[in-house]
Amino acid sequence: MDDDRAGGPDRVRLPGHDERSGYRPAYTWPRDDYDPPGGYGPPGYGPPGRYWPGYVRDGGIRSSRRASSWTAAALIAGVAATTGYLAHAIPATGTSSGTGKGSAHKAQQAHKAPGRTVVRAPSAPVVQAPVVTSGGSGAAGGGGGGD
Amino acid sequence: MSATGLSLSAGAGSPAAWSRVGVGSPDIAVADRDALGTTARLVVWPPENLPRLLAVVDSELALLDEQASRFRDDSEISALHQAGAGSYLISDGLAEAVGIALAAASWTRGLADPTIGTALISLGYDRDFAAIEPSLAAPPPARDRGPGWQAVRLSGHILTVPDGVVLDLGATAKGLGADRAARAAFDAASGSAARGGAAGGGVLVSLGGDVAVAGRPPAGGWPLLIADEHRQTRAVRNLAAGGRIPTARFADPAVAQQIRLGRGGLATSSVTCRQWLRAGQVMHHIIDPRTGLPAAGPWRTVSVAAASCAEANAASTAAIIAGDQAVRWLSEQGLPARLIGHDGTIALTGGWPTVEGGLVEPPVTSRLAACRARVSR
Repeated sequence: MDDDRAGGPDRVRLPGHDERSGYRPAYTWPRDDYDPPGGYGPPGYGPPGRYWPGYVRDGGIRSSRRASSWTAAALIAGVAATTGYLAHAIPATGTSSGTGKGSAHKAQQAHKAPGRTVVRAPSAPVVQAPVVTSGGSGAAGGGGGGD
Repeated sequence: MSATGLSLSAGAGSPAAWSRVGVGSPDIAVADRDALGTTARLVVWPPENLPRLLAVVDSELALLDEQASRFRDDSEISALHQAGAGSYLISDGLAEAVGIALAAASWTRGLADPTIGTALISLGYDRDFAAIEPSLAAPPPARDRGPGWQAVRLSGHILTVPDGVVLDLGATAKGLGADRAARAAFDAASGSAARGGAAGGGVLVSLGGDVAVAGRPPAGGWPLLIADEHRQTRAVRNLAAGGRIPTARFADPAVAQQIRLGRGGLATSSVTCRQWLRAGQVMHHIIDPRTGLPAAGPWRTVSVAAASCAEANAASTAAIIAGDQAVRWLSEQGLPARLIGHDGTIALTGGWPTVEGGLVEPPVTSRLAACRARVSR
């Protein structure tokens, strides 16, 4: 079979060129993010994806750049959620859940390390009875001013 | 609530000792003392923070009294009044207090006017309320309206007062005192925590029922009782000439409501408190600057929650004076408020809860801030 690429008489073969290797560059990438029309694989495959057999080998670093931003976002969110959970859960292991006298402030603990003091915030107490009556400006003896 | 009788030292030179008060919860600590002509209350958690925060609150209240009380001859504001018209270099604290009072006047369109001092004095409120003459025979004198709050100028620390003006910061000063004390107490608690003490927790300061909170509230918010002490009106009406004005407080259970507050401040103004007689007429301390006489609108008690206690204080005072316009104005401001009419009618605005124990959520943003920038430059 004639090789169309064999060229005409005016073509000059460069030293080292070996037709027998059958190498045909599939595409010359104009830039990294260019996706050729019709995709990269056999007909019906569409753009390269994780199921395309040649994807990993052919894409390389370039394919990593094209990794879905949604995937990255999901990873970040997952790490954040895990961090938040651990930050919340670890101090809770040291707190008291009792309702007896001083239960809330017992939860507060100071941990001292060389050169550093870390104070854990106590859990907020549960207070049922009103602590103040607001009913206008009741007068009391002494002092001055006020509405 | 019961006083334990335990006296807490508030430091040398303090005029009144704190008394520890039991409120049925071991996880908070409560103490009371007389201050600024009313009762100051400090509520803190964790309770071990209480002793060291008493002195902080004392310091803030003493400073405010020295700066803004018109009942003390040696206060800074009294010195201005004694000096008469002119421009004066005033302290940081008084500049803040006057700036907030002028901002409140601007915000309320002049209803909360700090220049009503002259009217209050002419009506008989010329001294600390506990020492006021309970029944004056002479009718109130005719009063001209005076120059009003717009004639008072504040530029940085330069205060210019026109002739004939006596400043009364009552519509905002008590709220400001609660705000300052709560903030200072929480800062002190937080600073102590950083040094290895008990963590900041939460602080509530009440001055006569005007409340400021700082830090973290108890779960669900600070529980407060909104009361209406209108029975004192009857007591004053029955007062014989020469008798004493009753200072006991009578809450009406029919209109009382428990609410919760998580941030900002809450204040209640009422025409049923601080009353005295003048020529047989019941006088009270909320003056309508348009008439120079006690406000005569349909509301006897108004409670308002706002971003700060000073702001709530100004709004509740203005609502009493605004009368028929009060509900509309409070709604426009987006302020949660509860108004009780002389006939017992109750009106709510701004999402004030209808249920017992409901959470009151004041705006986070101060309505006064923009006005303050306008009047203090």
